[in-house]
Amino acid sequence: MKILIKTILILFLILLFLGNFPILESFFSIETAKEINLKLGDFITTFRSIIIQAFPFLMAGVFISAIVDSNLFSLLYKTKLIKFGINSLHSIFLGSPTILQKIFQSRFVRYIKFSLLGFLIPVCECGNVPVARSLMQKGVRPSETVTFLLAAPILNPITIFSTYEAFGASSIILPARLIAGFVIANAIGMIMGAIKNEEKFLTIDFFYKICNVKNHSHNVLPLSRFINVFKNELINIIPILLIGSLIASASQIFIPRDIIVAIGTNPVLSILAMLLLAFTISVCSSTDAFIALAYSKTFAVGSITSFLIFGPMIDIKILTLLKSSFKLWVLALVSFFAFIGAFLTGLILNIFL
Amino acid sequence: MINFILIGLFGIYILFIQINGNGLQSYLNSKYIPFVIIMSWSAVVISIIGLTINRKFRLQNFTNLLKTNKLTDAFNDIEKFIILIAFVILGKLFSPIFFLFGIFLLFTRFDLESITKKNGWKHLFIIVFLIFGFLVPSSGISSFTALQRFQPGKNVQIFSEKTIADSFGRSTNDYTIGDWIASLNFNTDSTFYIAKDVDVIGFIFKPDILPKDYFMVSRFVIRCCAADATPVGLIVKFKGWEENFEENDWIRVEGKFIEENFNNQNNLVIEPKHVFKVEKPVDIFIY
Repeated sequence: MKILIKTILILFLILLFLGNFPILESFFSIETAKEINLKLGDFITTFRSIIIQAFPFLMAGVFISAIVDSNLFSLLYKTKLIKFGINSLHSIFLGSPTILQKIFQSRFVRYIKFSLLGFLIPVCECGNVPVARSLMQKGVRPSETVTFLLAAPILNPITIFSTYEAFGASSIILPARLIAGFVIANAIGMIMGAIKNEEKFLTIDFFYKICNVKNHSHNVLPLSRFINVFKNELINIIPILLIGSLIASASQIFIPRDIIVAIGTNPVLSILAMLLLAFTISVCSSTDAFIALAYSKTFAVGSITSFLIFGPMIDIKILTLLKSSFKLWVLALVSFFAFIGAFLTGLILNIFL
Repeated sequence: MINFILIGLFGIYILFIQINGNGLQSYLNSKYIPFVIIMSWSAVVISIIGLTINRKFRLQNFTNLLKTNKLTDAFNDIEKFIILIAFVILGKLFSPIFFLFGIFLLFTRFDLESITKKNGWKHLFIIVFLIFGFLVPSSGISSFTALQRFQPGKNVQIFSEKTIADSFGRSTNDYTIGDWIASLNFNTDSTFYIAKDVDVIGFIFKPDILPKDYFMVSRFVIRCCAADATPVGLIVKFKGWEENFEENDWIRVEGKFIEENFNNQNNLVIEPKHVFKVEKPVDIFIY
């Protein structure tokens, strides 16, 4: 094994040393080599442009989630005005019985509340799994947590900002994404809520953990905690962003135009292709608008929208994060409903636009 | 520690693109550039703060180095890998001796087994991306993508509203391709354009629908970044253009509009007086 890794490394280093693909010309005729170079050049440019465009939005998302996650807020909390504001928001969403909370007591309204929690805690989808766990530890019902998990990545300021920058105000994509995300997340939460005994949603380990809640002591300095959260999130998200934009730009350049156009103009096939893409590449919701942008010239509007709805809700990365707290059948059911919702939204847009 | 180095390098990579070649302008709409640069700098600054807060690494590394006098104990595997890459780059820049020394180190001193463990693949992925990012230059988006994205007969919207109003009262000689396309979207009546002077700069692009001896002098319209670039252009009639030019050459065309019939419809075509090659401009996109 060691020797294998070393040989691969040496080959890689030698390739790097030779550099700039002069090998191509010795293998192919000059014409083909030229074409391959053109394709590679376009591929590299598209790939880089997606990454450069997505990076600042990614940073903004990680910044905010690191601020929320560390106790930097607690420094602001000491000033009275902010304390008042945060207190009332906190009680609306999470807890202690006040007059406001009694108004918001009905179950129907609670789902809507939790679907809009993303505006208050704008963390992207991998960051909101820990938030969801802590919500459940504070006594929020699992079905309400599901609503939060599905809606928060779509209904948050960073995602709205990046979708607006990518597609503009004149396009239907942004409103369709927000409305459909809101409706689907609430509908799934309510369907799951109709099942009795919600504690059987949870895995035994996690259920046990909830029952033995200990108070975490925050001895760590806010700044170093902030930097740690920041580092961990970025180092997890950047490789996924790289793989996602690699797939998006490669499929734009290396798949022949005829095939792309044939798939992209078919109302059903285009949605299925985009949903499969969303499931596999698992890009963060703050940047997936730019990945979708690469397809926006050839794919129908509905399929782009279904990509933007389904991607933040369910993909490989989220499922792996969630499988330690939710049972498999719950995840399968939620993914199935999310798939149906995203597919129908796309189909309606594709047929009527 | 390696995490902070990689995040910092990622920020530096984007800043490097900005000062290298044509800069970020050849990748995205220039209105985003300040935002991109601020965020890259903050990535660099935060990773530096993280490195200084994380005091453990400095002491440990250097005490190990002093105690055992061995290079290998002072660094973890990923750091060793970065050192190897540094030798390769040194070898490329100065002399192959550095490269050979790197290979020698790999064989004799370095164990690299933990790259395959835990988060190793993520680090490796970012490292490989950064190496190719720093070393491989970008030739920019070309006529190949234009062919891939070209939709004949469909109006391409120009996004900045200024163009049409700005164009009034100027000599048509000063119109760029963007101005012409905006005005053609606004007023499709071709008789309005016949015999107007044209003087534009763009690259050569030959879609399949055009007959022989015609090509388009074109530019990319982008809304956001190169991922959504769409080609627009004006048709030029030039007998035997293949002998003098190639696709993707940047050219300046001076001439007049005429109307010609091909593909069963009347087309607005430039009849050029002069066509000559020019350097690729800095600002290649239309916003």
